[in-house]
Amino acid sequence: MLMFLLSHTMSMAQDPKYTLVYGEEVELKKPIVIAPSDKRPIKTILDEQLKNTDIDYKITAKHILLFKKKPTPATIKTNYQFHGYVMDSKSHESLIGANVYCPLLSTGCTTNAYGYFSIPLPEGEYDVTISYMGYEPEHAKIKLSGNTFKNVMLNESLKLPEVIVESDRPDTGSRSTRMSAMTISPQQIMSTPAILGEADVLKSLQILPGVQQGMSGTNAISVRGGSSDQNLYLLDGVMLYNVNHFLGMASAFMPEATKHIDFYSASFPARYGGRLSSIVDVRTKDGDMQNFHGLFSIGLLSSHLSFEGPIKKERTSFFLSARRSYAGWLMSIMAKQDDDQLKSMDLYFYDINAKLSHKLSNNDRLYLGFYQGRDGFYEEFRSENERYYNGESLTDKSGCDLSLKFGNTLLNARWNHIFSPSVFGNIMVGYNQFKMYINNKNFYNDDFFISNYNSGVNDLTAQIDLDHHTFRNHHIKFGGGYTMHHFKPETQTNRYTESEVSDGATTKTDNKSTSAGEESDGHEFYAYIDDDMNLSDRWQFNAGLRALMFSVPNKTYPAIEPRLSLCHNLGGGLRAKASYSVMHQYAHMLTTSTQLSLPSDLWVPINDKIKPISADQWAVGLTYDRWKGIELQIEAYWKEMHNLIEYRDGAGFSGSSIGWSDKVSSGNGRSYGIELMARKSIGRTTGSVSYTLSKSTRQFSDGSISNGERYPFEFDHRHTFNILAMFKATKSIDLNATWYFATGGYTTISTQQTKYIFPQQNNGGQIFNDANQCGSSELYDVEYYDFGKRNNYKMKPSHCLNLSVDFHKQLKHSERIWNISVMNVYNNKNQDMLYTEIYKDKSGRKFRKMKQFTLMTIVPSASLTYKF
Amino acid sequence: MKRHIYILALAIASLLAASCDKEIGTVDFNEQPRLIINSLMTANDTANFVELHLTGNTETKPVKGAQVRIFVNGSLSEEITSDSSTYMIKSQFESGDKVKIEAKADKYEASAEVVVPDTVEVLSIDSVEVVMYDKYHYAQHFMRYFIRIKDLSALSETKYYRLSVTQEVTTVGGYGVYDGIVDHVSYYTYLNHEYAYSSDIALSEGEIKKENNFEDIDDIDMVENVFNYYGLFRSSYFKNGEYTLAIDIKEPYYRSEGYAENIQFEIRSIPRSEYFYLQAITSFQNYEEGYALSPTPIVPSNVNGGTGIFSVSAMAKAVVTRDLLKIKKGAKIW
Repeated sequence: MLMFLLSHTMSMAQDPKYTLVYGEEVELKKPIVIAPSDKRPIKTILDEQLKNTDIDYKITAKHILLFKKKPTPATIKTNYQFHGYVMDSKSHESLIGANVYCPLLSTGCTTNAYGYFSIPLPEGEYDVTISYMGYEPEHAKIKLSGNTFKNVMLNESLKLPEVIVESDRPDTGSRSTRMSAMTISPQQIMSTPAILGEADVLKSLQILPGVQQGMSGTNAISVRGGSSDQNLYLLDGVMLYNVNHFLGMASAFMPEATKHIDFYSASFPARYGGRLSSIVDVRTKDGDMQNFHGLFSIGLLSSHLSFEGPIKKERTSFFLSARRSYAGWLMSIMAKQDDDQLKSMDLYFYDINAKLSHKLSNNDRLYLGFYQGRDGFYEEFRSENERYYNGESLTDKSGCDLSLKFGNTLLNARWNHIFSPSVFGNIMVGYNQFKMYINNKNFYNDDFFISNYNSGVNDLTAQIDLDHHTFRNHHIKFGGGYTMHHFKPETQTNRYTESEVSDGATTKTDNKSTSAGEESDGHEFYAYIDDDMNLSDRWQFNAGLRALMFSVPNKTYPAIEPRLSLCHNLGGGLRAKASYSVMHQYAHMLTTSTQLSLPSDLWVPINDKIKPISADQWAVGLTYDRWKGIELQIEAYWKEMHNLIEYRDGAGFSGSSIGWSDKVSSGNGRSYGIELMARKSIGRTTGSVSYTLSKSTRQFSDGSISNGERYPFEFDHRHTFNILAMFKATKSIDLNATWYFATGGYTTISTQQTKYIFPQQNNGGQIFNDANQCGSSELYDVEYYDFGKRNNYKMKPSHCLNLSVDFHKQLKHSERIWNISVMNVYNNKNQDMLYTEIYKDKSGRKFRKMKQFTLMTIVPSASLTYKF
Repeated sequence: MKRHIYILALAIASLLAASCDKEIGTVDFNEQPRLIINSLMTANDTANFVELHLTGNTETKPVKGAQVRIFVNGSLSEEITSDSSTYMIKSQFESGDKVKIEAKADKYEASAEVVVPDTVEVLSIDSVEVVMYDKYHYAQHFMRYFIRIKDLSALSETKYYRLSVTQEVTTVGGYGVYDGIVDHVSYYTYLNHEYAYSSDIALSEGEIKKENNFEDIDDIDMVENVFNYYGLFRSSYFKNGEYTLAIDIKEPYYRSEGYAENIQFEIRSIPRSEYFYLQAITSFQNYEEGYALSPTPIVPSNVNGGTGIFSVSAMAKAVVTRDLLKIKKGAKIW
């Protein structure tokens, strides 16, 4: 600022030598007066007269210069962390994804996977609102003069929630930076009608947009054109390989043990990796720290029991849950009636979830978790035959014992530590084993033959995840880990013992042979960083990066995976979003059926010949949540998949996995579509309606599959429509319904007859009774089905209505719930499988007939549950 | 095993979910017929042929009078036609040759090309007598032959092979004796192509085996025998380009007059396309018409513009001869 100096002559009778000089910016409210009789030094007089003004002065030889004082800097407030845990007031179970919001500063966060939150706020007093669906919101007055820790207890709501608290929730939901992300509540899982009343986590995913279901009644899911092995299933942070029971009729996740599920089909957070198409992150309950309670349920398929409570109140708790099926007992009774040699038989599955939680201090918590799930089948046959030899009556005893088992075993130990109010850490070590084994024993008197066959995969994992909350507009997550994968595709041991009597002497031979598939180890290292940023009131950006390395014998595959999401608040409840993700996958499942989950499915790692599969996915979308409790969203996506693995035509059915990389072909996949969803989350009627328009194809250019031409993926349903409705009819009656419609997927059927030529075989006979000898006597030909190209036929649309009713009754010490459900209410015969056959009529004329197989027709069921 | 798992699946489905089969009706997809070229030829063989047919909705149709051209290493080797669906090939092929066929009949055309693989080298043959039990627990005598083979080209890439066995057994049909000397004798010869391979890792492809794969066992088990009908194996099991096959051949039944035996082992090096083609044909054993949960066996084809298999293999032979005949003309009986 320019100073305009004005000269004024001061009346200074005492000392006329000074001239007062000051500029326009100086405002003298009172003139400066120095009386002649005032003998004090000039400095003292000026200090007195300029006190409490914003004017300062400088005395030179002849002038007194007046100028405006420089403003003193305003006091800068220090940021402190308001942090703690949000928990259920009764059980002290941590609540994942609870909102913690400060309206004054329009800032907030959500609790992480362990119920912990941390918000940086300036020093001062604030009203903070903490809320969670199904709970009464809590309003807390806090006075921040330092880092403040608080455990917030929320009470379960007896009425439906009416307040939706705004928050910039970073992970899922319409207001998050991310898109294609959703949280599934345990209530929604229990309310989604399922086969034989067996509520199921994966069934509740099947109604989401972008998720295609497989054969009716099964858990098979294809997410945005990906195959079933491209879905990452995590149980408390540890990966599960096979999550299905009964070939896909039920899943490994027990609803009563489940606390929280996050599902991502794009815009994947950088902390996740290893699969291309989706992340299903399931968190289990920690156990009630205050009271004992449990649940017992009996249904047509299985019975469930869970129990939880404190070992030491406020410090240590346990959670235990188990279920077992008993369908095999019924089969055994029926089978024994037909076969008197059948001694015993069973077909079953079971799951056990156990967890121990211990609170060392406010800063430290320990968890130990265990899960085991098994499917099993066994049968025992015994027979005795009388015979005569040299006039003597002898009894020959023979029998066969057969046992098939497969499933997962999982162990994990976690330590949550608050390193500082702004840094939360989770350190975990975990072990996971998936194993399948078949044991077969045949015996005849003292001779026996035993074969053991097993395959599986073991993982050992160590990882650290850190949440950093220091900066208000940045929520940084970073961490890293290592997993050792040990793949054991097949090992087979045969042993037989036999005796031969010759010339009165008995000779016993004992033979053993072992053959093994290619065991291999894969070492996976990764590190990630992810920052969720509020760029302004309108713009949010999530930038993540995952760096990884997968090492197999003779080869190491490094990779970088950017994960970017952008959200622009257009105002009025409308948000525009965009995302880009890169994912890699280092293990494949070799399977002969993508519809059924088979125990023979083999997990094999990449090797020096087979590269990792990868996917680039772009997505854009809009969300709208102007009306309370209603959310609308539209998304479009494009996904390119590279280095996909499929069995070559003809290679999938015979032989072992030895040299499996010779039997597969590498190609690419493309998937794109538009998804629309409307969701209502409050009120007596809740639910969702979704529609997906999509296309998904594959191509293996080396010509080994479908002659190298692009062909439709079997889950390529052009139009899919899903409705989920949950109606609270009265206080004690809940009505639930799902309806889905999908245009037909693709299957491979025989459309013509062709000729096959084959040489003489080693068993002396012919496979085909009507084979002809052609040309040379060593070659035969036969007319048989030609299946042409893969997925050459589009099936008819499928649709299905499922209803269920829950009757609640409060008893003295427990709650009783009757569930009555009907799957496929109007008994629609969906085309789950198609095939053709050639028939001849009486005149010898041939026809091709088409037949269909429907897995699930109308299935009613009932179950009874007691909660105590 | 896979077949029984599908049976298990159907059992579960039937028990739990009231599944059902339903006939939809007759169909004709009105697809354009395609020319089928089928040929499994052998290098250095004079009896090779090609079969030509057309696909159809309910049956195939033989193709007669088509123009068939054979090229070897880019040069036209022969051009043939035939008044039946069988076209005899006079051209001879050697390992390393690039053989191409072009077939044209009316408006249908197709072609295929294949490279003839190298033959294996048979290094040695050993044998030992073994006893194994069949499903009735009767002891059966087998001769186990160990055939050591070598294929250096397997060091750089996976190679594919097919084994066939012809056991020719000559026994005495009838004979006359005059003055203690065999005056006249007639012989009876029969052929057998059966062999067991339960001790051979490559031929059994690591599949679970019962006592032996020779006899089918009643399928009360989850584990079943999967026959390797065409004796297919890969060089994945070789070590330093070498491998020893272990093949069991049933001894002829005991006869006091003795027998003579001539066993011919044919080990063919086959192209990859023939290997996967025959693997798929093998899978038809597990495919049952009307059994909806059975996986679909898609048979691959290497024919462009049509379907079928066009292949030339290179054969190596190993022969074992045993003459245990006691009755020969002029032999002294007593």
